[in-house]
Amino acid sequence: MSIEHEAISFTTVYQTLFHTIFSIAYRITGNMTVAEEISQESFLKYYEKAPDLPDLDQARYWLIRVTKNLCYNNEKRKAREKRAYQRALREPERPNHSGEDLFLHEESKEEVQRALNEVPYNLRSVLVLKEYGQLNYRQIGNLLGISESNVKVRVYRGREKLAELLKRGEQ
Amino acid sequence: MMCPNESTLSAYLDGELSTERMQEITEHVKDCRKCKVTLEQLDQTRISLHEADIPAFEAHKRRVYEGILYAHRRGADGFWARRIGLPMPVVLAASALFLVFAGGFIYFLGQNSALQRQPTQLLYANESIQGLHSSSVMIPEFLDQGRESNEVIIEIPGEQEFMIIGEPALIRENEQWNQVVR
Ligand SMILES: [Zn+2]
Repeated sequence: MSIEHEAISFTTVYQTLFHTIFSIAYRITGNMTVAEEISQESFLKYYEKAPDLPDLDQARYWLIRVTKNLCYNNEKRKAREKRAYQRALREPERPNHSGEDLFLHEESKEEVQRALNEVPYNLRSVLVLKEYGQLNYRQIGNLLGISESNVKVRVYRGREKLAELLKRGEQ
Repeated sequence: MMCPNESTLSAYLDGELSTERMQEITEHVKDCRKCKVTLEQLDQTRISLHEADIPAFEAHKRRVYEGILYAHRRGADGFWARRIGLPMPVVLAASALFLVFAGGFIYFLGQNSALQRQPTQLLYANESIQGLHSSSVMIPEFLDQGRESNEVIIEIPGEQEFMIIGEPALIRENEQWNQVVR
């Protein structure tokens, strides 16, 4: 423990940041159950490691870093399951998402989330971090190990894609 | 001024441009219908995302919190399997080990009985370890062996053919298992 600041309590961190972390996990994975698991693991890690952070902004950054890694692992696992499934059925990769649906345990009733699920992962994750993480392009770039201008382009392309999908949904 | 490209308009929404550039675009959009429409479309996605409430939010919040407390308590279970660097005089090591085992034993008893968990006893054992500070002793690995009662055996019928979907760890286990069977 340092002298300049007192560590913020876990309760404060949880009460203040749960909404952010859960929203990010849910918007990226599109699955409530998975979002609960990921939020739980992120906060549990925070609880156990008890990083000595001076303010909520840094606690948020710390938690988002853990959360985006867990979301990424989930995405890889989903892709693996999908491949295993298609291999098992000896079916070629189909352009639509019927294989995917088998692994969506809770299909979202939200129109926005359904559209978001269709946005490619590398755009979706950046867009979600921007919209829900209260982070700027530089911070997102640092988190993901990409340049600021790459973040700018992905946020834009994510929005463009989402707008297109939402428009299509209206028709 | 030339029309800014669309990714710049998107960055404008995020306030990610220099002050001068922000002002230029504010002025430009007043007169340029095309850019105004693009900006509105991009902004609409933000509005849609933020308007959409996540259903039953408070219920998730409560459930995850309970999950954390529960997982943490169970984490104390894993505590017995871990190697722990304990700062304490050698003489105290034996008594601490005794406390660990006594605590662990009572804990396992408690687990096996109808009363699932007995946190008071667990806490007791934890405290007696945390209370000791000075020179350093490693609790030997045979602490790990105290976990036999927690082992789970899964039997798989020999003739069945399985399609494994899931973690590679599971697939590997299965392959190793097949080799052993053969
Ligand atoms: Zn223009």
